[in-house]
Amino acid sequence: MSHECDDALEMMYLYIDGELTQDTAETIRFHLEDCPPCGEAFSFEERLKLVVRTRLQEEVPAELMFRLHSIIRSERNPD
Amino acid sequence: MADQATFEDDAMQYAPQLYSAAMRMARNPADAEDLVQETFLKAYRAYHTFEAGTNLKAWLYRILTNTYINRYRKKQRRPDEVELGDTQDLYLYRKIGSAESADFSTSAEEAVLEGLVEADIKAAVESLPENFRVPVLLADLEGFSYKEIADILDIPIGTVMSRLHRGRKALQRELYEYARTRGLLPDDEVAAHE
Repeated sequence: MSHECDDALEMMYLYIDGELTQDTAETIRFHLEDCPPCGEAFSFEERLKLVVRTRLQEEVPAELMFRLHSIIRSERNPD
Repeated sequence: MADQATFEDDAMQYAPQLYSAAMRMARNPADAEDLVQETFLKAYRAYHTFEAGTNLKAWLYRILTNTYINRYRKKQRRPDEVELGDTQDLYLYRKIGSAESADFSTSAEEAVLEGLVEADIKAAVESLPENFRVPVLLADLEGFSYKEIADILDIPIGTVMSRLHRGRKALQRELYEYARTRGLLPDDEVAAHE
């Protein structure tokens, strides 16, 4: 583990979440290309984030959508 | 100022996403539906205070989150802020890697990412304490920026970062347990725990 590895790891979530400035993100991207262990670790974390996001999606019940519309309509026209 | 007459056209498109988040907050369909209904009712009534052209999705999530937190804290006598023990960075990745032999290194990671089913990931997220679960949902499920999460939750951006960081690591610890139970890890790693 080099200094660069430590720095990259320190900023891993900021990098994955797109929260770094372009310059800093670029520095990390170069390091990831140069350093396979860091590159693989980051890519695992990125894929995990995507897996979490995808598998947390729910199918919204059609009946709920219907209810939401009717709630708003009855708010708008109380009678 | 937004016009209440356009509320349905403007806001209803976010209902499916809000429902996904509400499911992980409330942890059951009936309460999640209640939460979304209450959110939309409050949002409709307050829509004249929403500044048209600003971030409607974040505004709706702010109402959802506040509604959830108020309910949750009412239910719990001693509300709030649970702490999490510290976990090393790259927890799951290192746990997978520590046991595998070179020849099936890629497949071990792939096996875990592919093999963790929806139910595992949902249960793992739901096991997180509320003050960590909500930032994780806002970032990972919804893709809000740290600044947006800070605004939605009314907490400093530094707090968002630390809760997100620790919440994700705790999530990895849970996911590791599910992966182990499902037999997704290399044999010697499983054997080491028996």
